[in-house]
Amino acid sequence: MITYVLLVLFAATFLVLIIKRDEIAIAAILFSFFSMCYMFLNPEITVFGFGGWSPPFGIVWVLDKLSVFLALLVTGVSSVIAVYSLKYIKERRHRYYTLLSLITIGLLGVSLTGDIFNLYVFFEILSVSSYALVAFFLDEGAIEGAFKYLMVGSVTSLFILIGISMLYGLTGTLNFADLASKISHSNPYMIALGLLVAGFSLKATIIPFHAWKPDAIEGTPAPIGAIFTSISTAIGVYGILRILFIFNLIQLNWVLISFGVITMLVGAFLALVQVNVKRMLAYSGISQIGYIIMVIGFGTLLGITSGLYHILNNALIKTLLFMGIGIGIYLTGKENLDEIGMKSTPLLICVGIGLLSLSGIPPLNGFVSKWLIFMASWEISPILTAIAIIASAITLAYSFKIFSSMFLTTKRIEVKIPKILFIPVVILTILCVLIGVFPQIGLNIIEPAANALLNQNQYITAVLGG
Amino acid sequence: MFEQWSLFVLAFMGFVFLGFLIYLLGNRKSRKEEMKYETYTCGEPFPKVSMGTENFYHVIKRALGIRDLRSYHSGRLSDYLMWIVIGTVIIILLMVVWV
Repeated sequence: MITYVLLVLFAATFLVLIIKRDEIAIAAILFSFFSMCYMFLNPEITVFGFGGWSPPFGIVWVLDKLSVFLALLVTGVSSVIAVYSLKYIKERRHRYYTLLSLITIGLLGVSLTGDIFNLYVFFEILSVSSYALVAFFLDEGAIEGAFKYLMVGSVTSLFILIGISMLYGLTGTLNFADLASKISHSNPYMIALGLLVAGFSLKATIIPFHAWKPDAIEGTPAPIGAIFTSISTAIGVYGILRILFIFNLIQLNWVLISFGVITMLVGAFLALVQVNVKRMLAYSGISQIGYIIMVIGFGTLLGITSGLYHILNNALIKTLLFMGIGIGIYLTGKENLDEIGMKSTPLLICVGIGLLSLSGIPPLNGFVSKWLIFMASWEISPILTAIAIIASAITLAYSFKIFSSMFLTTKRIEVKIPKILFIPVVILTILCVLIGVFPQIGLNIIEPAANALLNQNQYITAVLGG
Repeated sequence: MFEQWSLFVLAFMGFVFLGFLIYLLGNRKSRKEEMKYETYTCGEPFPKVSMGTENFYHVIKRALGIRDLRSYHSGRLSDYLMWIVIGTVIIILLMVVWV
């Protein structure tokens, strides 16, 4: 079935340009989302082989709870962005929807593939469509951001390709499960895996691989900024998780914790001093990834659960904020915090809920995952909990800065919000409140994914059999 | 894990309500002070002002040296590439030594 989902998305990519109907891309992305919802209900690990070739020789799709969780998140966020962009993007919309379908294919392919070279192919589809989307507005800032992203992205793609080549040379296989059974912890393997981790760290925007992100997001349309700070970073983290857990490298826990703490604090401090709202949200996204990397480094069930829960919440909150604040950018044509003041009570409520949730204020979804993060870090070291609380306080400080600049300033303009821009924002706001009040909803999705990650033998057995 | 959640949410709502009540009571007092201040300035109305975002948390920025941190993010591509190469070398070294 997954092959058909990707085929529908590929077909939509070309049909949008030929027939010039954007609705085709929206329908294809929504179809992929509902297909992923259906696949999530399947309790077993499902393995699909390409062209009748059985693993490890043929390319396979592996749908375990972790990969389907990521696919669900990718298609869900892409769906709301596809609807929102119908109004937000004013010109060259067919090209935009072609690129949006391509980026969804890339993200979906990376999360579901069971073959490391196939992963690289989808990673490149994701990267190339990302570069084009960053440059979409074709102004000076967009071109500069896209060029920087293209250069650093090409270097890390090369690292990934060299890493894959080394692994293939050493083991003679490209299948993840087969690699896991053949790999050892000797130096050549570690160099190859190190290159792969570095490559995925760029997408995850872990410090010092983060610097491209604010420059790229500043030039990109606001809904694409949402993709970069939510699901694109989630896919980077997923790549690191797959490598660390399937190849049993969780001894690296203090390395991950150190990178996580630095990313969390530096991201938060830099968000505090930004004047451009999109740059501020970009640094905020970097800071939130720091939390996720830190708790994943703990290697405990609670740590993994809280990390995956924060991936879910960060995706919802960042999409809500980029789209909510994007309405301000759309209506005022400005991105500077001093210039986006507006009078709109419904938008004030939605963006306010998003900002409070980002800061981890109860009873919203951001609090649930941050509470779990504090509990997980308390088990390892209370110092880490204290650092996480400090980063959370800084988050509240810059969230207030955004709220104050948008809704409390004296320089506010009267606005009328288009319904098609506002409906996706309302849906995400409701989800943030709903998951906050009933956290079990999120936990029912996260717990199977966390268990799947910790039980890699199940994955290997499902792919290779017996 | 979330058995007591509804209770917690209710308690939190209670605290928010209490905080709002305290704010309302406190606001009454501050209005009186505002009146006095207006009399002191000969009844002239205060102009409405809004603070520029650059001045937000100015003291914190200076105290924690965030400006220095910001200056490293020069926007120069060569710096970004250098960081990536250094980061990759660190990751590989740690993986080789640690695992």
